[in-house]
Amino acid sequence: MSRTRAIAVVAALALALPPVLGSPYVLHIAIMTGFYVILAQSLNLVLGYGGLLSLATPAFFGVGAYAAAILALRFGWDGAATLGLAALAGVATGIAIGFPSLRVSRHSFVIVTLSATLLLQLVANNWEDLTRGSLGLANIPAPRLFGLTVEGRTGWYLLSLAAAGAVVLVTHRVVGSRFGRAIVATRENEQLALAAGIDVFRTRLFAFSLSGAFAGLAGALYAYFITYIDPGVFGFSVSEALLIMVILGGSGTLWGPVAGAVVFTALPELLRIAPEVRSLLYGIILLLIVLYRPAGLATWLGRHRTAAAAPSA
Amino acid sequence: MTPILRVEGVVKTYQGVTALDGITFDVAGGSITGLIGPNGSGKTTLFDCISGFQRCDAGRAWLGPGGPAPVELTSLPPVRVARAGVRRTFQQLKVFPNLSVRDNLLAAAQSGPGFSAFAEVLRTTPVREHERALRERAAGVLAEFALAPHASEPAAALSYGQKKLLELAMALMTDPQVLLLDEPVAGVNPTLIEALKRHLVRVRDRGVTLVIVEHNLKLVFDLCERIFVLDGGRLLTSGPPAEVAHDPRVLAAYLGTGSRSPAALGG
Repeated sequence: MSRTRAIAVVAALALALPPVLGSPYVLHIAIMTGFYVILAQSLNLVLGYGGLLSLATPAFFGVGAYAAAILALRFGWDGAATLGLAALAGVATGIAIGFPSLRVSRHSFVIVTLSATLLLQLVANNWEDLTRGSLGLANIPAPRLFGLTVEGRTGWYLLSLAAAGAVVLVTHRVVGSRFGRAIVATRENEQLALAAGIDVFRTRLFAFSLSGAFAGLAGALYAYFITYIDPGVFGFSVSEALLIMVILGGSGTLWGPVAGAVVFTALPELLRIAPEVRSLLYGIILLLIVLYRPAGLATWLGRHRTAAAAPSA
Repeated sequence: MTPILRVEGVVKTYQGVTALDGITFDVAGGSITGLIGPNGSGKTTLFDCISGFQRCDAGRAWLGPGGPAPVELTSLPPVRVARAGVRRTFQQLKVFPNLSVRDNLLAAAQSGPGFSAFAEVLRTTPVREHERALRERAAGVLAEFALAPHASEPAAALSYGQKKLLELAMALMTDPQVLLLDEPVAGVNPTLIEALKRHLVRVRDRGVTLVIVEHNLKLVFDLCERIFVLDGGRLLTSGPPAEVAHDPRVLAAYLGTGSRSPAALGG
C-alpha cells in the first residue's frame, strides 16, 4: 500500500470513528488524543529534531489555555481569533523563554525551561485579578469558528482531528524544508552547523517558538473543550506524559510521536479494566517498549530516526 | 600576488599562555598554502581565530584585503564568516552522523537565499526551485567525490576515509572563496590520500583558495605553493616548499636542534 493511500485509509477510519463508536467516553479520549498529538509534535520539534530536552511545553500549553480563556471570558472574543492569538502567545512565550535558555548549555537548558514553567505556574496562581488564582477560570464558552459553534463531542472530535492533522502537516513541511535540515544539523553537531553557516541560536529559537505555537494552540483547544482551567495546566505531569509519548513513540520522526500520543493516551484508559494492577501493568509495558523498541514505536512503522529528510519538493 | 586572506598581528592567550604571538601573513588568491608546525604551535588556534570560533586578543584577519569590499573576519561570529565565503573543517572529523550523506551536503548549503517560514511551509515556487537547484548541486558533488552510491545512507555508516571525503564535499557546497582544512588526510590510507590530493588540486583549479594545516609533510610539500611555519605561537619562517624544507630552524623546531636531514621533513 502506498504511503498516500495508507494515510487516506487512516484519515477515513479516524473520521468514521465517532458515528461507529458513539460512546461519549471513547470520544472524550479520542478528542484528548488529538490534543496530545499536537503537544507531542510540539515537544518532538525541540527534543526529537532539535535534540534539546525542553520542559517548557506545559508553559506554552498553560499560556495558550489562559490566553484563550481570558480573551473569551473577559473580552468575548470568538474562537478563531482566540485560537490564533493563543498560538501567538505560545510563540511569544517561546521567544521569551528561548532567548535566555538557548544561550546556555544543553544541561542548563533543561533547568531553565523547567524553572520558566514553574514561574508561570506561580504567576497563574498569584495574579488573581487576571487568573482568579487557584479557583481557576470556569464556564469558558464554546468557541465559534467561522460562524459555527463547536458543540457536542462529535464536533469537538472533528476539530481536534483537524487541528492535529494540520499540526502534523506543518511539522512535515517544516522538517522537510531547509529549516528542518538546519534544526537537525544543530542537534547533530553544533560546531559543524556553525561552520556551515547555520545560525544555531536563531534556528533553535525558531523551533522553540513553533513548538510554543503548537502547544499554545493545544492549550486553547483544551480550555475551550474542558470549559475550566486552573494553574494545574502548567503541571509537570504534562511534560512527563509527553516525554513518554515522544521518546517511546519515536523521537525525531514524524509519525512516532503521533503513535505515541495515541497509544499512551489510550493505554491507561484500557488498563482501567484491571484497576488494582493498572499502574503496575503500565510500568511493565513501558519497560518492555524501552527494552525491545528503544528507538520507539516508529520502528514498527518503518520510520527510523532519520534526517529532516522529506522527499524532494 | 593578490592576497585573498590577510592575517595581521593576531594574538591569542589562554590564561597567561600565549598560543599566538603576533602572527602576520598574506595568502595569495587561488593558491594552496600550507600551515605547519609542531604540536601546540598554534595552527588550529589560528584557524579558530580566522573562522570566528575564537576571539583573538589583538590583531585582525581580512578576507579580500586589497579588494573593493574587504571583510574583517575577526569581528564576525562563525556563521557570518562562513557566509562571507570562508569555510573550514576540523581537526576532529565532523559530519552530521544521523543525516543521510545527501542531507549532509544539503545541510552544509544553508547559507543561500533566505525564505520566510511561511514560504517554506507552503513550498512556494521560488522555494521549490531553490531546493531543486540545491539537490542538483548535491548530486554533482556526490558524483565528483564518488559518494553517489552512498547518498541515502546515514553518514555514520561511511568508512573513515569516505567521511573525510564527505567533510571536504560539504565545505564545497557553497563555493567558498577560502577553505581552511585542518588535517585533511589525518588517519587516511595512502591510496585515499592520493585521491584527496587530486580533489584538492581540482578545487584549487576552480579558484578556491586552500589553507592546509597538516602533519603529513609530504602532502604539504607536494601540494603547497607557499608554506608558513609556526612554532610556539610565532611565525618561524615562510617560503616555497624547497626553501622551507631546508631551513635549519624548521628542522630544529620539528626534530630538535642539531637535526640535518631535510628528507625527514618530506622535502
